[in-house]
Amino acid sequence: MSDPESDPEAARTRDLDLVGRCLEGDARSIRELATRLACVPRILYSINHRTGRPLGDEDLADLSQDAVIVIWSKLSTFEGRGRLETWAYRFCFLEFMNRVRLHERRDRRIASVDSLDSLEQRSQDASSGEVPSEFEWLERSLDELGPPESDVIRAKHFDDQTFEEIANDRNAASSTVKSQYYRGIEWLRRQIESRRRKEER
Amino acid sequence: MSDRSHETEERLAPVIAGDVTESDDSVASRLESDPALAKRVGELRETARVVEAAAKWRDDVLAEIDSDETVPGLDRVTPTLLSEAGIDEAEPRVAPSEGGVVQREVSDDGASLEIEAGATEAPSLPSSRGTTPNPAIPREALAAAAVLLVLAGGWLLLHPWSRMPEPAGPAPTGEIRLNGTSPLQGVMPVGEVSRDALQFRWESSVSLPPAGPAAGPAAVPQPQQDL
Repeated sequence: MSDPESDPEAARTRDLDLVGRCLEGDARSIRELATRLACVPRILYSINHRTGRPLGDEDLADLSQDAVIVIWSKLSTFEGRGRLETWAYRFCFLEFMNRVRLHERRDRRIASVDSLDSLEQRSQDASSGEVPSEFEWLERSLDELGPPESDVIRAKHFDDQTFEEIANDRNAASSTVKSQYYRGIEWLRRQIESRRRKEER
Repeated sequence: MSDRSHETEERLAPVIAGDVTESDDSVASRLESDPALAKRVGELRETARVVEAAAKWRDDVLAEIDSDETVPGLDRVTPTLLSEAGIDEAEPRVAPSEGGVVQREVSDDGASLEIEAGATEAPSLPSSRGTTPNPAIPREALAAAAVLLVLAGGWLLLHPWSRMPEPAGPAPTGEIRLNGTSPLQGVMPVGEVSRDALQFRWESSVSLPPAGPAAGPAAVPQPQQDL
């Protein structure tokens, strides 16, 4: 029997089984899932750290709760194509960006009645970290693109699978998978072009 | 889609994905002969690099989550998930060992707790009515409070106030007259009701005044006298 820790395929199968039991309402599995979802606050903490700490500790704690709720509500969409933590990352990232945007809107409202000094300070704070807006855009665009193209692109770049591995997972011909990848990237390129034109306007 | 374009996509996908570089013999000659295609491949390769950058950023984030460092919100994950799943947090985290007898107790507010036989100490159930002693309060303190309560009750029973003799002779018959400064002013329309109507008689419920016209104003009936 393969070791799930060293065998990614076995780990994915184990995660898929765990999610299946959770969806059936198995309390013990749900407790195990809760242990695994300790990754959620850690992911959010790491993202917050990398983006210049736009959120405080209390906001992060609240966001962890919200992200766990979102992940629980989306659990049925987990297909075991990657590890549970990898899958949870997307929800954490998008929830984080939503929360930061909410705070930025709130700060702008506060800034309108605030002093010039504090406004400059906040501006300096915001520029101290890189908020990867392009990554957020990409995640949302892949959602919009939908399968099979988005799945192939994720598998290729996010899960580091070869075209042959992707084809095997999907019981498809390698040529078909490559063609789907090409079309997906082509669609993303058009989206990027359209986005840049809008930004220039 | 024509076979030719499908074949082009299939051949160029590894180049765009970065598996094969544009300088590889298999594609170099094709791109050299078709500048428009070379330009397109370059743009697609740029798009794929954006995806790669996002994937690398994610990998860097995930590489940091294996630490044991306490982070904000860590203590909220389990309660939130159990609440969403509709699972009682008081249920045992570990299933009872094989052959163990499980005893279920239910507290006042419906919370249940399973105790495995053989446990050295059963955890106390939460109680909204206080029927179970709070483990945070020492038993000695509870006992001292009970003794003080009994002593205070005894003192009140034995105090002269509670043994005050009844007044000798007939109980006074008095009148309580409400005037403009009475607290009732706020709820009664004094201005619309005559002050006489607000007069009433108070009599002791213990002893009756002697019968006779001198007992009180004739206008006020004395029902107990008639009896």
